[in-house]
Amino acid sequence: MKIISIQRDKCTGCGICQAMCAVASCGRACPSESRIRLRRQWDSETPFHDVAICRHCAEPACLTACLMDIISKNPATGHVARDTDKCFGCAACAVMCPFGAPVYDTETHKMATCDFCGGDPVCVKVCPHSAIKYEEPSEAAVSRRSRQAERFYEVEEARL
Amino acid sequence: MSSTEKSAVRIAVIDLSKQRVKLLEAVWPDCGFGGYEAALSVTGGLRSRPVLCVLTGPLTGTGAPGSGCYGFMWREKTRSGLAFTEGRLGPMMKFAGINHLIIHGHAETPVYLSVEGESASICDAAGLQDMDIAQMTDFLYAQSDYGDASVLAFTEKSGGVLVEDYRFEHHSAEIRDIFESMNLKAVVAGGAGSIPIGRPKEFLKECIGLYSHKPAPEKGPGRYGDGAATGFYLSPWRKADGKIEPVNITDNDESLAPKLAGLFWDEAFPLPDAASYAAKLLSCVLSEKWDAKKLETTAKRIHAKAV
Repeated sequence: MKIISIQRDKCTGCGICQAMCAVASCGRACPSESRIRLRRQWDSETPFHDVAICRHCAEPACLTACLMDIISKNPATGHVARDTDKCFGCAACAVMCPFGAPVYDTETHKMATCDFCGGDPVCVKVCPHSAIKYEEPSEAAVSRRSRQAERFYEVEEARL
Repeated sequence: MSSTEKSAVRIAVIDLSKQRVKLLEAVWPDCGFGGYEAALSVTGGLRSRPVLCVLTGPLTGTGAPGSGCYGFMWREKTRSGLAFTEGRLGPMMKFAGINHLIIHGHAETPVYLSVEGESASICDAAGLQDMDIAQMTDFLYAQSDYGDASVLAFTEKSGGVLVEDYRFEHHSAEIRDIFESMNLKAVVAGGAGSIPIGRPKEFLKECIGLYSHKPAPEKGPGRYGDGAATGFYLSPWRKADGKIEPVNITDNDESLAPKLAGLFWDEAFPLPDAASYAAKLLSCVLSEKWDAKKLETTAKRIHAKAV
């Protein structure tokens, strides 16, 4: 099962992923309804941004919260899917999601999350700094460990 | 959106002397290219007063490369000008439901403008006098209902330079002077609205093609504000120096057409022929047939009216 992984040391918070995801999923430029969203902490001391996107959790809180039982986890792929026909936009999934991933679509009046654009994610294609990858969790873990090791090495070198 | 459907363009006309805000809704294509001509016809009636317009193009905020582009037009006694810049203010204005701001007159006491909820309001800025730019920006963000608002402000305490969202300095003395002559301290814009795109699949395909030209790695991509290469809606190919220099438009400027359309195209863009690309994207957004020649002719006509 492939997942979207964000390399935070490469992410500049440019928001291009958010802008293009909105066009791909909603057909209009509407960053607030994008399935990948930047969250910024805007103050002068600690500018910070993070990315909210569905993590397809092993035990999804949204699945438990859904009042209509329309959220399911595919046992083969591990992806969390929604039967949007029955969704009436109560947003219980958004309340329970620890990552703030579900978003309310103001045109369909339903909740939505990242569905990987059917296997060819737009955010991966448009990210100017290649900070977004669509990869197996094991590959994501390997690259995270490599970057951490490099950082550790740099810190040690500086110390010596 | 079919080509026969009309898209509303909202213009907020702000009289600082009388503390009044008037909203005009012009229906395009009747009002011309992106509402520019409607906005300019309004300023025609204000010839005796200092006027500052903040103008967005049809592509501003759509997410296409360089779509953070927005323009300033000013007129004051003996001088006038038209300049374009890139940043978040233009896109945020459109998400707030306002396409153009026309500000005129002079406020008795310092004020700032808040653009949100398809309207604009004049707010008291007397309490901001002793703040530096960071304090003022923090305060104005807190006042906005939208966590993702954009703030363009200046304070004497921070050298009197116009700064957008803490980090990007707008190096334009004329625009700063107009702000000061109007007693206008800041413009804040934020909203959760959307910009319709007529043919989203084609638009997405064009944008993906452009974004596939990855910028060369630069030292310093990292957290926004730490020498980051880009910020929200800025062109990914621009230099990461934290400065924005509004580009004054002169006659026969080749970059006028794409900038008027809402694309901040400069020599760093990986592809030549900016006008053709802007026209292609415009056709997708507006569901109308545009080509480089039509765009350039329209741009020249608007420029002639603006200055």
